[in-house]
This record gives sequence, C-alpha cells and structure tokens, in this order.
Amino acid sequence: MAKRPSSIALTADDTTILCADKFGDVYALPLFPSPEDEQEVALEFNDEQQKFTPSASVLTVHSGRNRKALEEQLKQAQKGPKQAKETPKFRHQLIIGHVSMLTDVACTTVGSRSYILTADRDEHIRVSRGIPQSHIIEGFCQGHEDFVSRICFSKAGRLVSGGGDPYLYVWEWMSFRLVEKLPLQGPILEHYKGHPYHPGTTDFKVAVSGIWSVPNSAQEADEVLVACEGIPALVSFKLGGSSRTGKVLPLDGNVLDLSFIEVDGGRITAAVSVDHVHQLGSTQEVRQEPGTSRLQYLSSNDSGEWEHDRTLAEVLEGFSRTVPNEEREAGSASEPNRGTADDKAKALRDLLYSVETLRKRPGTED
Amino acid sequence: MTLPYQCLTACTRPGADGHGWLLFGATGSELVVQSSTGATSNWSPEIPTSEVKVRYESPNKDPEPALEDEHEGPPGKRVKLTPVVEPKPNILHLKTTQDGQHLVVVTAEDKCIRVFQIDDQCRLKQLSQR
Repeated sequence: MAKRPSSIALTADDTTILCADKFGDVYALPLFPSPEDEQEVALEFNDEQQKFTPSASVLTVHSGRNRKALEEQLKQAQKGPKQAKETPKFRHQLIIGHVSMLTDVACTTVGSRSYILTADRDEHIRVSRGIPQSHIIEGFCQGHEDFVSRICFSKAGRLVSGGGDPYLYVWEWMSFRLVEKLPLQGPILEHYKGHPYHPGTTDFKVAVSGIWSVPNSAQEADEVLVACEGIPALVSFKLGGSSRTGKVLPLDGNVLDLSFIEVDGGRITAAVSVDHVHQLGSTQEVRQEPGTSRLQYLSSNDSGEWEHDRTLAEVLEGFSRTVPNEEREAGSASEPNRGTADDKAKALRDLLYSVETLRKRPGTED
Repeated sequence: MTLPYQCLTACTRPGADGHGWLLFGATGSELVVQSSTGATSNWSPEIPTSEVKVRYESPNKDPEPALEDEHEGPPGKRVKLTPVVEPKPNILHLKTTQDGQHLVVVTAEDKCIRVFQIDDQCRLKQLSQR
C-alpha cells in the first residue's frame, strides 16, 4: 500500500478488504487478486505513460504570464511522466475520503443494503453506502468532543463508539441519533479511587483502544466489552437495559487486545491479551517482575457476570507463556548497550500504546 | 524477552472431531497460530537477503537471547534470525474471513496487506502481498 493502513475491515461477503489509512482514504481491494485484474491494472499503467502535450501552443498564448506557464508545462512534459512509483501495481479503488486521519472502519448490512462506517481523528463518524455506492454519504453521527478511535456494532445492531471522550457513545446510526452517553472514565476512576497507577490523582483521561461486541448467543443481553489504553481492566456495558453503569473487570496487565473463542458447545470464552511487560496502569513504567502469562480468559456465567475461566489455559499454555528474561532488557543501568535497550523499550511502547497520541494538545492545532 | 501480543484474533473451524477453533496472536513482527487440537505454527515477514548477510558477517554480535528458550517451544516452531540492520515490520492488524479459511495481516513499516490461506494443520500459505 502507498500509505500505512490504520484499520481494515472485510465486507460481509468476504470478497473485499476495506483499508483505511492515516491520510483519510479508504481503499477497496479484492481479497484474492485475479490474474485479469492485474492485466487490467498493467494496461492502465501503460496509458498513464502517454506523453503530456499541452493543448495551447505559442501561437495561441498571448500574455507573457501565460507564455511562461506554457514554457513550464513543456518543461515538465520533457521531464517525463510523474513518478509512477506512488501508485501500487495492483487493483485498488479509492472509495471514501476524509480530511482527517482515519482510525477505524466497519461495515454492516441492513436488509439488502450495505453500509460502510468510518471514524476519524476529528470527532466524525461517517455513514456511507456500501460498494459500489460508497461515494454517497448518508450522514454523520456527531457528538464526540475528542477523537474517535473505535467503532463497533453491537449484536442488536447499535453503533457503539469511543475515543478520547470520558464517555462511550451509543447511536441509532441509521438516523444519526445519539441514544446515550455511558460514563466510561467514571467507573474506572471509581474502581481505582483515582488513577490505577497513581491512586488519588484524577487528572488522567481515558483513550478507548478496543470495543468488542459479545457474541453470546445464549443470552438476551446486548453487551460490549471496552478496553482503554494502559488500563489493566475491561469495562462491560449491557446496552438497552435499565443499568447504564459499566462494570470494571480487573486483569493482571493492561489490556491490549481481545478475541472471542467459541469453545465446545457454543460457549464463548474471551481470550484477553495482557501486557506482562509494563506496570499495571502505566504505558511507561516497566515491571520489576514481568507477568507469566500473555493471555487471560474470561467467560460469562449463567447470571451474565464475567469470571475467570481456566478451561483454555492448558491447551494455550505454550501460546501464552512468557520466557523469563535473564538479562533485563530495559531498566538496568549496568547494561552495556543501554541506548539500544531504551530504543527497544520505546519502540515497544509505541507499538502497544498509540491511541493516546491521537489526542490534540492545546497549541498544536493541525 | 517475550513481548506481549499486540493483536489477537480467533475463528471457528470445524475440525475432524466436529468442533475447533484457531487463535492467532501477533507479537512484534511474529505471528503465532494455534488450533484447538494443539497444532501450532508461526510466521514472520521475510528479510531481504542483503540484510541476512550482515547478520552472518557478525555472528558474535547480538545473539538473540530468546533463541535457546525457543527450542523448548511448541513443536513445529522455527526460529528465524532477526536482521541486524532493518528491523522486521511489526504486525498491526489481523482479520480472518468468516469461514476461517483465510487470514489478512497488515504490517506497519512496509505498509503491506498480506492474505494467507490456513490449512487443516493450521499452516499458513501466503497468497498475496500488496
């Protein structure tokens, strides 16, 4: 790709990859590029090589300024075609363009119609029609006051979005109506009585790094699990019910990602990737004693409460195990190549924790 | 040092005994796959040859501390050398198709989207790289 993808999605029919990038564009790529596609693209490429000839000539241009412009044009044409390097040599179609950095893309089908939803750093959530009518913008879900980092469809079709705001937003997205704002920062502060790493301080802001719809078929509840960057817990929200309070589920490390595994008999277990390297609640401080497992498992019991579940721990022992590090790579002053260790530690921080960087700081308006 | 998984994804894949799943995890530039039957495999982006040479020319320098431990890892795991010059691109996103037959992997530094086919032994076959 020409630009680094910031999020991808697959269309409902699994034939097309939607790729959103940092420059606000969404491209559609076939999952399997067919040989015909490549030929077609090669042809288009040859066409582009055609030489540019200005339609004006010295005979038709009279003013000095225009003559100069014409000279410039001819000079450019002599230099040959613009560098074709920027255009990838495979079938890809620009389908949506934002003016801000895209953070997430999702698609869904309602009845016979498909839709693509895109979220950006500038508080927007855009609802576009699905391919091939993605140039038609149905509307925007407006209400976020800070960046939007994640959007997610719940099981019942609600749109849930989160980002740099202290609330989780729930939308009736077909009519672009904000249904409710669920407090997200509040429950976390309440649970930790302040900042999870510096108890007592309250000047921290949440940055949503993940929203997952719980695919539990056995229960009626329309539930999502939410992760915030550098927070060693998930927050569970049951949508549409009377309770608007998120329930904090503490874990042994900052939550990085989550995936639902359907174990025998359709039971759902959430495998959560936890950061065993950094301190709980911190994206900077390295732990003295790293954790021993990179995964934790939760499953929902009969009354809908999440609890730790060790069923998968044995089979995934090798997958989740951490190798104890003899030489501590970061944080030890006697290390000879301290510089590289620090660089490594920083590279890891950047890889794991990038959502908070979306927040605009006062004075750095861009 | 083992790094945490920055991405996780799973899919359901009916196996020989009727029901099965696959779990994919990305740690740095390495992709680890495990199935419910315990089969594992891993993948990481290829290193251009020039960089591998550099690695061989200075064999005493920077031995991977994790190498020895890797040998005790799950069967089928293969240790690949880390380039000294250019670090491998980190994996940003993982996505499986609904039938669990294919996996889409996005890497950061080389800005690539790769599509893999997943076979019954949970081995990965790269179909395209864009």
